[in-house]
Amino acid sequence: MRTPLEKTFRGAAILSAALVASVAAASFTSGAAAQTDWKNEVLRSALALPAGELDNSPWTQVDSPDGPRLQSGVDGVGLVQVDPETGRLNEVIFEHALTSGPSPDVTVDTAQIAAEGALADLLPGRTDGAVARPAELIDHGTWREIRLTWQARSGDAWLPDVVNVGVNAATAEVAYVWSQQSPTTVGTVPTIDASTALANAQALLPPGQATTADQPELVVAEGAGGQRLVWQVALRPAHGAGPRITSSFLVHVDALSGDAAVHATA
Amino acid sequence: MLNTKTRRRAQAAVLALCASAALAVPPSAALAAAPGAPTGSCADANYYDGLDVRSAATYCASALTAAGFAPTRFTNNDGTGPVAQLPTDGVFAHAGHSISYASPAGREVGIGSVFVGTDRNTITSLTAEAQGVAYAQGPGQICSDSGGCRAVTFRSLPYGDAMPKFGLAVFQSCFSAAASVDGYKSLADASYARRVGTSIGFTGLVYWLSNQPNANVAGDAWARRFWSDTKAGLSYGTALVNASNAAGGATYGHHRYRILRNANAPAGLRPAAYYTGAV
Repeated sequence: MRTPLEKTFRGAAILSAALVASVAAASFTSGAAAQTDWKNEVLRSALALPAGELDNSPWTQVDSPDGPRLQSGVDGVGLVQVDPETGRLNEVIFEHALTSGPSPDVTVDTAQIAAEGALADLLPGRTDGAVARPAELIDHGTWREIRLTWQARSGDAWLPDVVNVGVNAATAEVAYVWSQQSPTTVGTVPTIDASTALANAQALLPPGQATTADQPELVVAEGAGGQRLVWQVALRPAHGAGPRITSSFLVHVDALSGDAAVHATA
Repeated sequence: MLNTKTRRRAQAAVLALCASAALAVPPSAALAAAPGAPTGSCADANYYDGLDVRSAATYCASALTAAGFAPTRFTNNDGTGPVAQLPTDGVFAHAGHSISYASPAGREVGIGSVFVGTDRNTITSLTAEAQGVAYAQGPGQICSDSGGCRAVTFRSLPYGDAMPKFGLAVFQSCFSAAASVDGYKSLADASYARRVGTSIGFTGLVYWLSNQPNANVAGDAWARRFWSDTKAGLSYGTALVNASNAAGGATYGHHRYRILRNANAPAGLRPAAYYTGAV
């Protein structure tokens, strides 16, 4: 878990974690009276909305990979989430940008300019020092997305500190911004190399079962037992002709001990 | 300060409050299904290889109940129960494995929703099109991460004829919305072609944490967020973005979703009704 901290957003307010928590708790019990609380001020500031009553739905608590979030819907904008621990906005979905017409796709450079503009408004400084990962064009059917990702890295290890921006490929409008951030609490230098990790991962499957594997990726993974530095390997059993059940195993190989275990199954 | 585009969007947002009806505050209490209300099938399972998707049907059923449907949860069932209920269903949702067709070049498409079998050596699947129904039958092999491989018999159950009145079909399984391969259509494409109101699937692999239902990442997190947002009255489009982020971004594959909407199909789950395609 992250250390409780104080955050300044846009120089407008300084909230202690304790205050944030107490206000957050009050918002669940006092209903409309809490509509003027700190979360609405965060939204007004980030979205440059005028002062006054914010037309949004009640805040509800939802889970996330790195802790609870408070979620609401702002009329005319879309879904928003804030992190009650840091007091920062961590997700905005712009409902109107989730539709693509037949227009040709914009370039990745254009999408990146749009994304960086939105980040400057909504999550200033959030990607400082992070590494831009390759952009991905995704056809969602009703809209096409150019997905841009920034992730913190230490040496070869990818850290649990990620920002994603989805840009509508037809209009270059930002469709959503999402941020996930956990301080890294483990070392990031492996003692097991990638080829050993791959061999250890493949040894998990039954002898003689042919597999294909992606190149191992070094990541700081979060789990019930806390963070671990692991090599992540995707293994896909080979199949013969005829109907098959699609399957794949995401294996985590401890980068210090070499111990391998199936982490996720598809 | 906001850049020009973001500012313009925010200003327009304030002036157009009615434009996002999908984000209106939903009723807080679950609605009781009215007599004759459409049923819904929500299916999940704990598979032989550690793919444990058993919470997904509960999330789905909760959303359908709130919307006024009369849902049934099918957990660790073979496919015959859902098939029997399909004539009255307005929503169909499945979480788990796909049965797939793969070309010699390795292009793969999910053509059937896998259920557990009528016995240990029979695996049933619900398949939409005649070509897929015929293909997804006969001898095959399944493998676990620790128990080796064993021979099974695949048995496919056709369900395409029941589809045209579905308002929503969700296939939370691998390649369930992948591009067609050698004429075999994906689950999402096949249902969309049969005039399901909205069909949702995935173009690649989608993962669950192994043997860990209720995890806060991967498939369980996706299902929990998608159905809770849908229950709250959010549009499918918003719920999909939010759920794919909740699942952990790109790590577990849920960011490669496809949503196919026929003309006039509702943007969200409410109200409980069959989809007719009419204005």
